[in-house]
Amino acid sequence: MDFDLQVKLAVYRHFAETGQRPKPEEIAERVGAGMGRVLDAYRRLAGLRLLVLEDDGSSIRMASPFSGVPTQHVAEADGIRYYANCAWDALGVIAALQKPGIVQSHCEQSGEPLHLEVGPDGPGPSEWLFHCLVPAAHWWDDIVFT
Amino acid sequence: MRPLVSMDQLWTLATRWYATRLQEESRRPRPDEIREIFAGIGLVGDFWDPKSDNFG
Repeated sequence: MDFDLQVKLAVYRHFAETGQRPKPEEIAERVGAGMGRVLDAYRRLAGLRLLVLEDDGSSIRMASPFSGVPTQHVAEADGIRYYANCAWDALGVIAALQKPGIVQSHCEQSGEPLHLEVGPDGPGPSEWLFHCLVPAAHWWDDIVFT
Repeated sequence: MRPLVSMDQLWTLATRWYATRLQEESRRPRPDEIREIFAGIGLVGDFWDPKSDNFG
C-alpha cells in the first residue's frame, strides 16, 4: 500500500474510532513515519480533495464525511458522536461506519430540530428535504461554505 | 426549481459517496460518475452537472 493511502486510511479510521480529528503526531505514530512525511502526504491528499486542511497546513478541517471541527450536523453510532460537514455528510458518516445510528441537525429556516434514526437501509420515512445551495460545478470553489 | 433532495435521495448520495470511505479501495466519484449517480435518482439539469457553468 502506498504511503499516502496509509495516511488517508489512518486519518479516516481515527475519525471513525474516536469522532475526533487526529493530531499529525497520532497519524505519524500510526503509520510509523516522521511528522514531515505525514504533513507532505496531507498536502498531496488535500490536492486530491481527500482532505481539507486548516491554514496551518497540519490541522484537518474536513475528511468528508467527517468534520474536524464542531458543526450543527451530528451523527451518533455506538455511543460515539461525530460532527459532519452537512446533512448529506451526516448520513454519510452512518454509511461509512456501516452501523445503525442517529442523525441530528436542524432546519435553517425554522430552527426545527431534525432527529433521524438511520438503519442499514437508510432513514425511515421522512418529510425532510435537503436544500443544496451551490451548483455541483462550484462545490469546490469554497468547500467549507458548500 | 429549487434544488431540493428528499431523505431517500440523500441516503443514496451518502452511500454512493461514502460507503467504502474507510476501506482501501475507496475513491471519490469522477465527474461522469457523479452525473450518472445524480441522474439515477432524478437529479438532472445544469445545477447537478459537475462540469456545467450554466445554471439558468
